[in-house]
Amino acid sequence: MIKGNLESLFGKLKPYTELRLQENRNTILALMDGNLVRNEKTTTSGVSARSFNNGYWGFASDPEVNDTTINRVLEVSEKNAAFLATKGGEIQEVHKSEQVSQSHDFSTTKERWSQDETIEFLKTVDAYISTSYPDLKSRMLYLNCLDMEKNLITSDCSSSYLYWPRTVLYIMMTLENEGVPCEMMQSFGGRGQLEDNFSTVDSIKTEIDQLYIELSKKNVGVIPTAGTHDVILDADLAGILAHEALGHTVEADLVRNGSIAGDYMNKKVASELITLVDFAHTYNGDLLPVPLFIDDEGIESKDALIIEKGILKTFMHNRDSAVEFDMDNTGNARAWEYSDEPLIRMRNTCILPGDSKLEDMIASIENGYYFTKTSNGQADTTGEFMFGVSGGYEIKNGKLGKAIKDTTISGKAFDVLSSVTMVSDDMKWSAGGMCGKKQPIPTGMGGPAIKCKINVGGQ
Amino acid sequence: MDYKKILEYSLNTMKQMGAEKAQSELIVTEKQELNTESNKVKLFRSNENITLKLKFIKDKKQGTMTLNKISEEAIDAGIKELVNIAAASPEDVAYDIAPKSEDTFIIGVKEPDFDKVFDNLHEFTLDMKTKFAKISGDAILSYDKHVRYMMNTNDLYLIENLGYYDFNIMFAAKDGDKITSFNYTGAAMTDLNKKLTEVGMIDGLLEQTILELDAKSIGEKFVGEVIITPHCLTDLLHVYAGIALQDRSLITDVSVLKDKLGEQVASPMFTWHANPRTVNVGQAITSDGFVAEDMPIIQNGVLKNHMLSQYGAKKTGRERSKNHSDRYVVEPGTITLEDMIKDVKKGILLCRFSGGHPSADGNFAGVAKNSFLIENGEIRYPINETMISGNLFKIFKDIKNISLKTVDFGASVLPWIHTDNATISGK
Repeated sequence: MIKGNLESLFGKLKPYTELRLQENRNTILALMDGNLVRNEKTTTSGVSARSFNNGYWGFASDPEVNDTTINRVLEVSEKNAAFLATKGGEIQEVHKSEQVSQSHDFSTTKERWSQDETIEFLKTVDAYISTSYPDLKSRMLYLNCLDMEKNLITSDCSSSYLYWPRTVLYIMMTLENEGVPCEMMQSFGGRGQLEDNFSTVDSIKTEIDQLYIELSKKNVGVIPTAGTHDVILDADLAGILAHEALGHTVEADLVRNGSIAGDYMNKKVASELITLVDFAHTYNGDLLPVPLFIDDEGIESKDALIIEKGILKTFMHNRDSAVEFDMDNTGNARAWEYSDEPLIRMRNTCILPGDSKLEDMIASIENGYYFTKTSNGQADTTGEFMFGVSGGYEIKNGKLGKAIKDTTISGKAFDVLSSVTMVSDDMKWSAGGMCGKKQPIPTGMGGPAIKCKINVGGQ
Repeated sequence: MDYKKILEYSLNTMKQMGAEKAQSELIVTEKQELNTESNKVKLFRSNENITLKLKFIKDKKQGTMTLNKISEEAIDAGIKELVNIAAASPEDVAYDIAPKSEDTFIIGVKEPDFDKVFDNLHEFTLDMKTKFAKISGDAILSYDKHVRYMMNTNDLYLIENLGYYDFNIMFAAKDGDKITSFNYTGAAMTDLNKKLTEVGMIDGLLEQTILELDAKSIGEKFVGEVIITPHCLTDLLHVYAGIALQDRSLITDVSVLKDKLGEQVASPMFTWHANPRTVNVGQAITSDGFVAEDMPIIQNGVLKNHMLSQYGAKKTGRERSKNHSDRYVVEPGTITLEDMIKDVKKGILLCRFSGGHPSADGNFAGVAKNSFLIENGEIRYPINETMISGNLFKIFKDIKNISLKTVDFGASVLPWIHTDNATISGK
């Protein structure tokens, strides 16, 4: 919708300036116990400009896109930067970067589903759940289809066009045990439009059945014992560990604000079994959930090898921080909407797989837990993190035991990563994540199962 | 621009396209925002936006569409798609729009003093450099304005004109190799007469954060008392409302408070209001088009109101709430904060809760961040790597005291709450 020849505007951009056209299209459908409680489509689009002046930034945006508004946002962004520069009085050179140009369109080549067909798909999934599992107290299906389309040029004569769609279906089930509700949720889908993620209900029946089985066990499960335990974090939790526990601490803006990682460059922060990367777009030849080729500052996105065999190697950067830290710019600057300025954000963050088998990892624990599902997570400048755990099992004498109720796990990133003694030889990616940091942004995360020591909340 | 004509045009177009009921909401927003980085005002951001929300109901089927374009061409295209969205919806008799109403509300600051925005933020950066040199963080001060115009086919026409200053800061302390957990706070204001360090008790949090440089683990597990600070209380009240009082938990019938109206659900000391009309930075129109009214949620421990929208009310057969906003006011108690601390035998001052979202049963577990150990009536030391678990509903039943002092965050006013029976476990 916003693809066009912006290059003709290069001449209007004074060094250094970015001009970005962006449209986010969001379709949301929510079925709550069969009732369609949300049936919405939102389109947000417009143009923004960001200008640099002696170390200060000015930004302006307008929802209308035409010659007049483009000129206006360029003028206001320059004026805003100049206003701060006048107050500050410092001199800082204009950031320069290599001229790059790329165009990527990940929209489907299949015939698009109509609204009728989309709702019918949801109703069929809902009918399968309600018919198969009549003892459910409640069920909720939430479908979020996001199409994000960006067209960027910079005064370095760089240009980028990216059409990135993501489709996520969240299914939440609730059972009751003696009047006490017990919930479990799972997300399906990922990069791509609806038609590329779902074909028929049959394609997700097995996972729906598994979700119900796990919920049934959790409904009669036990509350974990509070304290430090040997645990296995399955792929979903290893992914959030990579993102929350460590990823945020190595975002250069958080390092500037005192993150613990600032004192550990080129030092050992994890077990030698741990290699952690924020991939730009591709891993092992496969396109990742959130592929970024040129970031929203017109910089070519590169993989950020954050931890290599336990040693901290780099931070994630934008233009300002790469200059400030005198490090390579990894191209991590991303903006959520047209009216947002780019911030340092993760893309596809994961721990790389090792060579252990999951069954051997479980067998190696005498008394601990196997955590399989997570609800949310939060990072900290100290590296101290917490995740909500919404699914898992006790491990007793090397065997899986009773399911557990909701709990929270926590620890210090470097301590937990240093306690890793086994890493599984497989890995999974998830694309349903939404990271919050002034603006929301979709992120990809992944990992193998890892064995470590961690603090468990509970009784 | 004549926004009323745009609303009339969109409603007429929806009616021509077959709508039996239709509602249009136009929100015109303006933001002037300054951001600091390393105690320097680094970014000046000016945004204008316009949002048109359209609701279309025909044959008991409903769809909604949100655009940020208002040309007739864009509205026509949006409504054409909206008709198809609504047609694909299942029938539901609970879909509806608000009844006839006409009013205009003006809240807060009409014309911003932008020089003062810069001056106050600049002064704040100087204070940070001189008085709080061990603190690093990024602050944002903005002037935000919106005018909401809402019109529907029941002859409703409401206007809400709101302008306010919004200050937010995220920060941590660092001294040599010692660092603290980050903390964050903010406040909305209708004037800039106070120094930014003084709004929302920010100076107290900054001073406290420096003390946290010497945090240590409790090193034991016990069931004890908790003093919940106003900053932390904000988050807990949001969770409470979400899992027990609002549409989703009541429509799906999983709320443990679904049949508790008029019953004692919390301590008699606890009175909690949703007051969008009387807080400083309030809200006059609900998201579904009703004039918002203040209401008690829990009064002296008795559940007085759920927080249901028009749809939630029709769906559950319950009464629509006078608002479903988060403009929370908790009534103060009679005890000073100092005396409240003196009453604690063993427990923690819980300043931030970082935990998994509690499920409908109210059980929670998470990390007690930026918090302090209290023993024998005295704050002993700042703590880290300490988890807290318990039950949210029980926390509010077990209240021992509520502070006389409150913190005004602009959109909410909250005290400290002393409660009991939380499991606290150190490393």
